[in-house]
Amino acid sequence: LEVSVSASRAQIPLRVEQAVGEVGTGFRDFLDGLFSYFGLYSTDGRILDFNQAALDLAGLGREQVVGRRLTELPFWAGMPEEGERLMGALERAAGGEAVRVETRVGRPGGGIVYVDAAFVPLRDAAGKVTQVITTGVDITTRKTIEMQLAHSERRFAEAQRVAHVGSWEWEVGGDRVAWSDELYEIYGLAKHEFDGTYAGFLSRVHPDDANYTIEIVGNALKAVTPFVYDHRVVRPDGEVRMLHTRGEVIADPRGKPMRMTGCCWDVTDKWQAMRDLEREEERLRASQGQLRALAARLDAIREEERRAIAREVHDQIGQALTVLKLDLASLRARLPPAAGDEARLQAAAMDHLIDDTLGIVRRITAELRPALLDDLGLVAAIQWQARDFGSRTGVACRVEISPDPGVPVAAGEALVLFRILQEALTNVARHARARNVVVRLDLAATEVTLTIADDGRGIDPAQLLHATSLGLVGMQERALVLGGSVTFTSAPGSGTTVMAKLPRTDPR
Amino acid sequence: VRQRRILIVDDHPAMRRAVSEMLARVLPDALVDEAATGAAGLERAVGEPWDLVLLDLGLADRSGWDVLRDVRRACPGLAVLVMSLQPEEIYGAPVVDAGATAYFAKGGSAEDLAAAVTRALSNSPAQ
Repeated sequence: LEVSVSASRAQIPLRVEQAVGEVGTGFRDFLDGLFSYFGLYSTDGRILDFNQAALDLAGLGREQVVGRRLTELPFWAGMPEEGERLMGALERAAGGEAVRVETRVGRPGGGIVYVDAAFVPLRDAAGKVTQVITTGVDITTRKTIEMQLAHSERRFAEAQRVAHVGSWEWEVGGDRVAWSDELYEIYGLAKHEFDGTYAGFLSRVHPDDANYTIEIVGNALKAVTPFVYDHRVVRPDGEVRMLHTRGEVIADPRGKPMRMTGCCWDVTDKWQAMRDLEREEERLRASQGQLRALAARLDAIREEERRAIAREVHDQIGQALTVLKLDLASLRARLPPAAGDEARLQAAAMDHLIDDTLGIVRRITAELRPALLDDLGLVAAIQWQARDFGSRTGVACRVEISPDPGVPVAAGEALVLFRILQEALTNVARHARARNVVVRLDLAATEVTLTIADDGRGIDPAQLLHATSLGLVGMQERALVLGGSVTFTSAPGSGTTVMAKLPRTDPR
Repeated sequence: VRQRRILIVDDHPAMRRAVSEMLARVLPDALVDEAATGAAGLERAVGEPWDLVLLDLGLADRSGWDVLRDVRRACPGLAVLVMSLQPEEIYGAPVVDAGATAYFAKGGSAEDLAAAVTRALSNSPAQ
């Protein structure tokens, strides 16, 4: 507007004073009434006149500015280059050029005023430049808003950069896709490398995720609904990034999709960490499996050694003691009557010692590897163990077998169940202070369940969780090797129940 | 009175000797012979006439249980007294179920063994 005003004044007389003289004080009042700045300069850059708005800006009277140069005015504290720039514009206008400049001046009272200024040459009838007329308008408000907007945009871009979030907008009808700077960063693309179309976007999506993407976006468009999904994109250098994308559809009043907007969060690091974690867990599971296999192998070796030791003790020591007992009996029968009571008492003591030692041999072999488990099977072994436990501890131990097994339990399972029974009964004797124990064996077609329930003082749940000392982990490991499980149910004061479940295999 | 024939099947030499001596004392007229393995014991038990077989369960070459079953199958009437270190209250019934005439828990007294042998002989159909 100011330019056109000044242009329309192109043919006004040489000096404003003259113009005022000619037009009267009405024109002076008109100029001073403008809130835009007005100035008149000689071609050598001296101020001829300022209107009131310009004088107010400078905080000076007219007589204080006339005849001075722009650079001499108190506008340029801390920014002399602006004054020089305006002088340059003034010179160019004096040379016949219309110049438009955006500048800023310091108000003497403080604060900066942004000015959109135009410098226009005034010519005489011969076309010679005689003066330069300047108009300017205060654009501080606009400038402030622009700067705030730019600042806000910078902060938004910074936030996107920090959060690895990029935003996009797709004008569906015209197929124009606009990306934020950070989205270019995420895709690893320079501005010119993306053609700004939906197909261009799809071509960057990982091939395995492309159909999925088309489906998600298509459904959102059709139903005009927001969507959230994860997909990978491939950067030009081949690097794969994982994006968490949210989008929404903006439709016209009739429901026709117009635009789609959304943002993509680069979650590659999180995704990578998750994959590393999964791999680590896999490795852990594998090594746990190896440990378990090793433990099972060690256990098998231990069982084999126990069996060998039991056999050795039984066959060598047990038999020798039996022979000694028979020989001693033969010796006693042949003692002459004259041998006296002392010799007979000594022989009787020897016989007792042999009996006691045989008892020890029986107990050791039974604990190492009860022959009856192999000879008579699990049911007989459980019954013997319960009876033996009852007589050793005074705790009443009842055995329930149900139903009668048609098929014997396979040797491996029988051994595991028997060891669990021994361990559980040991715990009862050591910790439970029970009066009754019920041992129950349930033989189903596909599963065998052994339950040992006592009426003792129970185990604290916290202790159950960390109860390596109670052999609970050992019981569970034994069962796990055969694909079974052991559970412990207990509460202080209400007894403990150990339940072992094993899948049944063919005894052959 | 016909001479009693008794076969001891046990892989422990001292055990065979001790049992033989005990039998010689209790049944001086009996013929007592020995087999040192399950295989030899089965062969002799089945191949020769016996009034009683004393069979140890814990044989090294094969299970005494198997020898017992094979003997019983071949000679249904032959008296077999099974012995082992295991307590009678557990092994007694299962051993008899498997075909033994009776069970003797080793470590019992010489008198008890003698009584068991005598009882088994008296139940023998050869009597």
